[in-house]
Amino acid sequence: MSNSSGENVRSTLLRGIQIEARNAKVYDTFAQLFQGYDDSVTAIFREMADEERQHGTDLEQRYRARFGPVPVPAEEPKEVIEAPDLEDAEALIFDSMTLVEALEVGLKAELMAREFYQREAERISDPDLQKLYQELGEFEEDHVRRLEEKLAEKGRAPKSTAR
Amino acid sequence: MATATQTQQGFVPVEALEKPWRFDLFRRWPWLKRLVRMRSFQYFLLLPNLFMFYLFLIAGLFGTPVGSSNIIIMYVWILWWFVLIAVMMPFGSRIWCTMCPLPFFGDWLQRGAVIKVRSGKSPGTNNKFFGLHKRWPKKLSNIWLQNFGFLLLATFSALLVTRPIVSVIVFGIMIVVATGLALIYRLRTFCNYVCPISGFLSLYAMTATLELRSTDKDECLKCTTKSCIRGSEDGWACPWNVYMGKLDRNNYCGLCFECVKSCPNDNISLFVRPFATSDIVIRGYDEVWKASIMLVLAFSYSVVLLGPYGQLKDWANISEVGNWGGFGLYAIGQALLALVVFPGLYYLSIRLAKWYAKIDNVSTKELFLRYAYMLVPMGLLAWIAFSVPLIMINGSYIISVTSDPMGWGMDLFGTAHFPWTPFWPEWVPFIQVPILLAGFYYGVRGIHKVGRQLFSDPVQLHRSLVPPTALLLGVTLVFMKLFIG
Repeated sequence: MSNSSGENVRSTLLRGIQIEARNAKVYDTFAQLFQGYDDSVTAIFREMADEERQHGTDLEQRYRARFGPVPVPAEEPKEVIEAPDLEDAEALIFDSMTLVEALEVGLKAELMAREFYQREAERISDPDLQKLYQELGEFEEDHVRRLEEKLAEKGRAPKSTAR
Repeated sequence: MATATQTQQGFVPVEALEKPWRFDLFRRWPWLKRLVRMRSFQYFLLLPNLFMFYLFLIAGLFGTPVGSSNIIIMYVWILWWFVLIAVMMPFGSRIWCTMCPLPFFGDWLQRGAVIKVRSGKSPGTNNKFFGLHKRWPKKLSNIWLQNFGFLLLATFSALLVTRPIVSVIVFGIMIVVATGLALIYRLRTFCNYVCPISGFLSLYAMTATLELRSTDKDECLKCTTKSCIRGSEDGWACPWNVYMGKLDRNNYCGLCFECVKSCPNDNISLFVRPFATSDIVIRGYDEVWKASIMLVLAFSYSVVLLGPYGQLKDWANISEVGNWGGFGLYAIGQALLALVVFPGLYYLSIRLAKWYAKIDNVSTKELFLRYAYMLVPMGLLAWIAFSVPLIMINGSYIISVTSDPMGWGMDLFGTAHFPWTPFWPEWVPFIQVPILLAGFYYGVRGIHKVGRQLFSDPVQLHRSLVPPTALLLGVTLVFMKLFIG
């Protein structure tokens, strides 16, 4: 593995760690935001925050195994890649956030991440980096599958902004 | 035929809508942003307004009971109404809500502060609020209460606009309710769900040429704090419960600018945009009925106040004529027209549209909600057209009442004896007709834009527009008949 390839793998892994940490914070924020509304919504956002933290820990272990201690990032990652967000600016006004919609927030972010990593894996020629992107893509694939299972359990409804 | 992705997902994502131009005022004038970011900014606007409002209430309580000689009637129901509907709404969105005195005491008690921000962990926020901070009932989390409240107020408008004491009682009740709700429920519950004025402001703010939005949506995606809605040590949690990261319509943004103060990424700005072009999504039946109520009331007021129907005038004028039977007929007729007849006609036009355009992939509900946007610019401009003669014919009372606000014979500025003078009354129809035609134009243009999002086949699109457009044309012609005879 060349120096530049190793550096690319290192920075990609580090970015993955940062993104998981950022997403955990976002889910925590959503859980707090919906405090006092539907308890199941708050609970699922907390659960997703915990999962993101767990993913971050897994990635940190991999980082440590290859590169040593994980540095404290100087700044937040600039890329969006995987970013859970509320779809409806007026969800709190109309008290319309449901468990299914909360799961869809997570699913959309995971799909976004999976597509990004898969695209990068196809685009990159460096075999080390390509392997990492494939692994990260599979990682996200696993999250997507789990969220889809939960959505199937809840009987996913077609999305609409109408009330 | 509707496109597959659209029908699977219901409404088209906002990102897919065509975005018109917008002009960033904060970037152009950084001093404006600095001004808005000042903690005291809102109170520079609100406190003088509160003081004036307090004086009006005193005048209503202790001044002459003759409406045309009391400042509360002339300033509130002629001057304020005209400025609100014809200037603030189309050009300033909900800028009135920035300075509205009604929720002031509730905000004060709830926040425990007038200007400063208190950090804390009241549920859902990063601020400390006083009070029970309860969740408003889900079943009432809509604008139906506002719809019925406004219809009720409008039905008794003859009392409201002629008896100063009635205005005082109504405003007094609104202040007490706003304050009480602020102590029990979260944030601006009164403004979001109860205030009858807020209901129509929310609807017509869609047309406004001003919007407060995030400048870069990706920045909001990356934001972990969501301080715009949760608040921070620099700004209060959004009193309206609006999330700026995905905000795409003006309806429920009360322009308090707290999010400008609390956004850690300096990512919120004030934009100028074209009239009645950007926010075209009607979300619920409550909003459709709000549009219907407002349009019918504009019609009803025009008939009663401007039309040649003496009998109807007498029925509506309960305060002077006292014919309760006639008033009952008038009130029931107005309510039926607003709540049943007009929505029924509109529904019929949608069913016809579905049949004529052979639409099978867009539900009647979806089309009913989406095409109802046409009633928004039409309603606002019909109200403006109705309000033009109010100010031009009766505006001179404002000049005289300014010098004698209580009707006690004072002459503070030497204008107390300014005679009733209609201003260019012969021009009134020439102003009203273009306004109405503009309402028709913006209504049709709006649903054409909506239709383009729903239908890829131009023939189907244009056929779907025919019945609602015919209804809107009928509405325009009826108003024209009323205004110009």
